[in-house]
Amino acid sequence: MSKRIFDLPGIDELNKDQKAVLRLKESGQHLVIGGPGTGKSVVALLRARKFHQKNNYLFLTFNHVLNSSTKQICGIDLKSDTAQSWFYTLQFKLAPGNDFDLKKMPHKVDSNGREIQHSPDYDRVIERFDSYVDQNSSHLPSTDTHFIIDEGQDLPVGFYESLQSLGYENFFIVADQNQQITEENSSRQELTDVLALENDEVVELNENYRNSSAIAKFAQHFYTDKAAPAPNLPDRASLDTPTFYIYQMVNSCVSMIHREAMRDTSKLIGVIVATETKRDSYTKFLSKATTGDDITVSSYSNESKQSVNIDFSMGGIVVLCDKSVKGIEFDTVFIVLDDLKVMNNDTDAIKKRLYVMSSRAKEKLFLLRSAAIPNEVEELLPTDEKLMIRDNI
Amino acid sequence: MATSTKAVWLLPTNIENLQMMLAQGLITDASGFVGSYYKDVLNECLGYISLFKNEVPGAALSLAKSEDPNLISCIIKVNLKDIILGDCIHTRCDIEDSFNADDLSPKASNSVPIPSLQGKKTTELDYESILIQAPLPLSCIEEVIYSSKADLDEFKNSSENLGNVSIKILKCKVDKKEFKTTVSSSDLFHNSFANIEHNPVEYSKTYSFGGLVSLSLYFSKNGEESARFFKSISAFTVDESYPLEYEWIYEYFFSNENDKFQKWNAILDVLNNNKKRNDIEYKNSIIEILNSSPKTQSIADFLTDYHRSKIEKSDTQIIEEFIDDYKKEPNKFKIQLFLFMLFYKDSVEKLIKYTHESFREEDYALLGMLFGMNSSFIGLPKWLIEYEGMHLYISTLMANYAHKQSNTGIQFKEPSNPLLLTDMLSPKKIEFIAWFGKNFDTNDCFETIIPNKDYQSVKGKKIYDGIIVPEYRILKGKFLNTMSATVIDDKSYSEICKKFRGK
Repeated sequence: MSKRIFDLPGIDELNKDQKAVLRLKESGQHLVIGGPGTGKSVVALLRARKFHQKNNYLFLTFNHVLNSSTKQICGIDLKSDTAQSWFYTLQFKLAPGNDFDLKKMPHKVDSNGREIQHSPDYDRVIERFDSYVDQNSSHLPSTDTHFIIDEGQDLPVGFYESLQSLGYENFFIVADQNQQITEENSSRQELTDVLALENDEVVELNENYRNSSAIAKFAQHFYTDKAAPAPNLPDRASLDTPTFYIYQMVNSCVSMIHREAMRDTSKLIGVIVATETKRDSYTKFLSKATTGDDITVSSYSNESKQSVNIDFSMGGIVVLCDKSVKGIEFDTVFIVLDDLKVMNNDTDAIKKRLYVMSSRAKEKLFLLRSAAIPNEVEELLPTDEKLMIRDNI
Repeated sequence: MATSTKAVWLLPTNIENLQMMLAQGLITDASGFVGSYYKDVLNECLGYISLFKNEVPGAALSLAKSEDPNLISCIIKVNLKDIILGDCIHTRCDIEDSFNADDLSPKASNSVPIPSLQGKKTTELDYESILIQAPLPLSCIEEVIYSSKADLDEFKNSSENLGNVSIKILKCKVDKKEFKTTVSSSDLFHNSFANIEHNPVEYSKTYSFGGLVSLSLYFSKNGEESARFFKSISAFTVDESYPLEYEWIYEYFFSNENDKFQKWNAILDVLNNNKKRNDIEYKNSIIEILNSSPKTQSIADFLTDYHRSKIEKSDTQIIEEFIDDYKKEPNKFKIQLFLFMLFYKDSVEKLIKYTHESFREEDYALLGMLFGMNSSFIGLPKWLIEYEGMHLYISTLMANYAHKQSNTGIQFKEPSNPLLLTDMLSPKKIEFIAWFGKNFDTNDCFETIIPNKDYQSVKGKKIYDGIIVPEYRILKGKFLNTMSATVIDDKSYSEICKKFRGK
């Protein structure tokens, strides 16, 4: 295994849009919109590095895996947290005395009047925050913090409004409307409005920064935003045109993943699966195959409630369910299609998941499907050989 | 500035263009910028670098911020003392008969030998600006002036967050006065200067050459043969005793008669033209070239399958097979091994860390040249650029290469050669060798020769009359094995140089 850290971009690797983002004023409210791989997280991290010496910032991410990965590879002792756990703590700390009712986060309720877990009732939160401000509570935080928020579309508008009600006014949000994976999220327009920006003040990043063009074009095949222009097809098949392998034996897949990891131990190989069962089985198969090699196989489940135990600062193999991979990037990605199913004819939902999964790959992308188990998701894959090569192993 | 003082030459720009110049290793006109370029005076007279005498016109400062008001302007004070040959054009346009009537191009009488400007007082020069054919080496930057401390801090902080911008060679100062201009002309130059003739520079090849020589310098640590390659390529020379692959690379950069290697020059074209890092494109282009001939199609198929993870052999096994093959035919052109390495290790840093027990010294050195060429100077890791003396040395070498290839007549004084490890390990530097052996775990890479003189044996000790000076010799094989597996970063290199100099 070899070390991998956030490679500071070369000046020639940043385009004018990204450089313009880096020149944005330190204070105030900023919204940066861009698709996967356009360098949103890179500019967010570079902004955090800018504030790091002054220590007056907080980097917030949506999920634990992204928070953990960002912290480990960023090259500084990043002040970061997941947005929701930080928000719950803030709400708790602001409540005066030992009033349990006030310390408990108010949640939304469903039609049966039951509280919806992890779904704060922001209107009530704002009421509370307003009252603390009116009372000039001694618990009120200093409001000069600069929030840098990655995947900002996954947080609802109420989250931002709550912070604004406390007097926070420095926000730098990077977001991609086409990557919304939560029920409660914010559209581009809502983010623009909540930050009181004019439309022309929103910075758009359009150039792909992460993926090779073949992978970016493949990912765009699943782009569900009907208003967006159709992607241009590549002129020719490329070496890194994603390959869809139909496999006879799962061992062939395991050997291929193992080989890829052995070839360059500094690379991070992502194996993305659809279910916990598949995550478990691939983790076991790969751990067995790599015994005695200098390769780590790690995994994490959102359901385990444990802290993320993956070392993103080292090369190796990481097996994750697709719901945990938002914002993470891998050098090579293997997507296991088995167990990925279209539910209630909602093909858009599957496309969105495939979009997120495939755009995690920087250099190489492989899709795997068992020959024994036909999968209707295959019908959603591109048929053009310039976009995806089909092969058997 | 007082008019009786020496004339100073100023280049107004913005910090992003300055950072790009530092990263690419040359001060160029707009056409030489590798990445995004922001409008400034370097776009006014194509092919030329415009320098203003003593004071920068307000229009030039405004131009440097014209693309984005958040850009930060700065002024580079240019030193002409390192330009030992060549002319520049002065841009005084009020002299009668300054321009040719037919095409309004400046007359030859507008030319001034650059060395003649050295030390001239402001009052001795009756023109306000000069144009010098690009590029200029970074050694021409005497200092950079910022209008405020905040601007200077922003320059420093943002450079720190860029992977290839090293500012160690710069002298910076804050002087608000320099930005309060009294020259208010809105036209910077007479129209005739916009398209004056110039000898086009092959920037891509120049930057590739910079990357190549830098890596050649790095790999000179491996032994005397590697050091000899570096000395030859940096002096633009070749020797008949050199391997075919060196000749192939040398001819690509210095000769137009490439018949002998014509078939393989397309590969070097790919490495030369591909200036985007982490890009699969060079691999795609190589496959395309190999597929275009039936003779090389099998190599293309092999590399494609390898890339797609379909080859089951291990990498070590593959390389062993190539090397066994070359052992049978020692004079065979090792193109297959080199192509494989370009697919297997796709970055300079990975090559630097790579070692194979069957590799010869020349393999590392030649691969270093190819990888350096592919990454180009701007793609080198920052720590390598920050090797003691490297930034300015390679910059001057690139500038001299560019001007020589385009026959501009401009030449720069060469900075002293960087210290090479194998030169430092000369048999007479006993104390240094002992230190190096101990600190870099290389004791067993040397042998000690005691002069053949009479001695007495006293209690098991050999006692010689007078002073005996032993000699040390490098054991080439062991030295190569150890050094090829040792990464010498900028800090280690500085430490070595410091020790060698006895500081």
